Amino acid sequence: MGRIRRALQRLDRQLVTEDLEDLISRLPNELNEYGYDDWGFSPDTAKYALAVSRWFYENYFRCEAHGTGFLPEGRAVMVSNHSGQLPMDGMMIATAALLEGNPPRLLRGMVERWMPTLPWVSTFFFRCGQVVGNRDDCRMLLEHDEAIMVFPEGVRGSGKTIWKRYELQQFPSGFLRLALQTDSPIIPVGLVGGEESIISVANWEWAAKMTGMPYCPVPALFPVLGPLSMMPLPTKFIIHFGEPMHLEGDPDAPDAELRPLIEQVEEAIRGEIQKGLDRRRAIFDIPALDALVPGAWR
Amino acid sequence: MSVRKILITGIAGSTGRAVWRRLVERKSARLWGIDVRNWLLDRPKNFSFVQVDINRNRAEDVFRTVRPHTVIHLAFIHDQSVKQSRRHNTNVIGTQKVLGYCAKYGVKKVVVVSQHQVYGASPTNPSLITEDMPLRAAATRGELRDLIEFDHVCRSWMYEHAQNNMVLLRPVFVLGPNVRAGFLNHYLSMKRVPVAMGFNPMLQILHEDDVAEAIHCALKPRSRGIYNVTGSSAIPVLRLIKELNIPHYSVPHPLLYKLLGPAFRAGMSPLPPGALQFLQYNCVVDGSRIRQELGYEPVRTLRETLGHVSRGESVLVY
Repeated sequence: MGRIRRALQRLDRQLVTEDLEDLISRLPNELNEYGYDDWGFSPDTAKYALAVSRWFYENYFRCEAHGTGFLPEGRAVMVSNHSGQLPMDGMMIATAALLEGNPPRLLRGMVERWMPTLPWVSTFFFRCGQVVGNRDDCRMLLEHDEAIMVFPEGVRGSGKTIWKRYELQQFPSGFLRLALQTDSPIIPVGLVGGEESIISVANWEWAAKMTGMPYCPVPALFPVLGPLSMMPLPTKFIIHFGEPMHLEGDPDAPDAELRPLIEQVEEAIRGEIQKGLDRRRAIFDIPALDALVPGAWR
Repeated sequence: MSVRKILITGIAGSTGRAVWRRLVERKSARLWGIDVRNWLLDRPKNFSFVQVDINRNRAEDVFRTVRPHTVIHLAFIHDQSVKQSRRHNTNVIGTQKVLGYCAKYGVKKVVVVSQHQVYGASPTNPSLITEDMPLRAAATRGELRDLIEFDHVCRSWMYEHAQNNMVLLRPVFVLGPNVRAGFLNHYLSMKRVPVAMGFNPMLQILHEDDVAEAIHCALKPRSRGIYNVTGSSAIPVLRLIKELNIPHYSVPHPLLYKLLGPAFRAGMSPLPPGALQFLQYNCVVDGSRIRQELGYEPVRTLRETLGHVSRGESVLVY
């Protein structure tokens, strides 16, 4: 047993390095004397998750984050495009805000409603500062000057096929109403690289319906990799944070009246995505893998 | 300045005594207490005690003769092992009677104390529950019928009788040296406590002195409304158990409900099955309204509160 414990301690030191501890301690979130906030966030658990996601951030997706100076100190609604079948984009944007924000920011993601019913998973997500996606919740978090991260496209965005990559799906009005209600700035975020991490050529709705999943992607590499094709490929991620948008309007106006404001946000995000696409030299930025990409997709 | 006449029902309970301690030193207050139990503490000059059941006609006599300015209604059976019919009789019928007297004798201020458990623990709960949220506990907690009905009775009375200035408090789990009843107290007084495997929800706890403090803040003239009362912060249930050095065992949650439900009905477990949801899901309430509007601030820290948990030992600190 002693050997196992020592090995675990060594792993612990390797995973959670000092700079990571320092970064976590600089988070502006209010904690009680036992190290938790009211929503269940605990840096002691979150640091392990951050250690793992930092590895993905630095070594796997080799993320480039631009415009992190636009991350404000108080309340903020981060609005991003959604892509890539699995929520790797959310994880990387949150990691960028933690690693490169000054001060580091904890972005509150909105998780599915059935998540709290899953043992272990629920506890883990809550300790990492995630909350159940709920309008009242978002409002209260913003009123407590927290930053939330939303993907207005939802499953329509993440379940997209490769043919529709970087096409922004129409945003519903919920996020805008929240921002207007709480007087929070909207930060447009554009993420490039997610669309190619899992290449889906079709969405089998019948299979999704049968299994109760929101969508069922058909990975292009399934014939080659089998089930492993649901693993994200090491594409290069480029994240652009845009200038905060302070919009004004009536939060209870009908959708049609809010449409121009929503389009303004959509346009800003398209701009951030374009910046990323312009900056990108190759999809993988690994010559051996990029050689395999068909010419039309480069 | 005239002396304020304050009547406290259920004064011999832990909250009653805490409020009594808080108010009895005030020279500007004249206290009356009624309880079905006897009063064992000293009786200073500005305090009188009547031993009576609030459902008896003799309770109305107290209102008739005293004509209180303020009523703090605390006569409530928290012990879930008491028969449902008896709890209903005191908690719902008794409350309706007391509120009837308050209206009849022109009481200027009424304070009633419900619990945050009325909101229920559920996976769809928002992270912070405000006073305006629906009371979901009715969906799962049959054993809490009386509490939810009590809350409804008080709420509708508050809107019907605006001139009586009712304040309805919903404190989170109350712990303290004198507190022995209530779900969390029964839970923590078990020799080994069960936990739902893989779940570790946040629990909010409050010191009995903070309840007294909140009631004291609610006495402000012309204040009226519903207020959640929270302590300094929340703590995950496993951490709470660890801090109190209580051994625990994990049970997969479907099994937990299957085992402890029949055990409760057989009188072998003090945990009502509906309450087990609090071991699985969050029920974290927002306590900012009372801080802003009534100027309440908890006097005890979380650590102090944990140091004062009685764990069911009958140390009656009078």
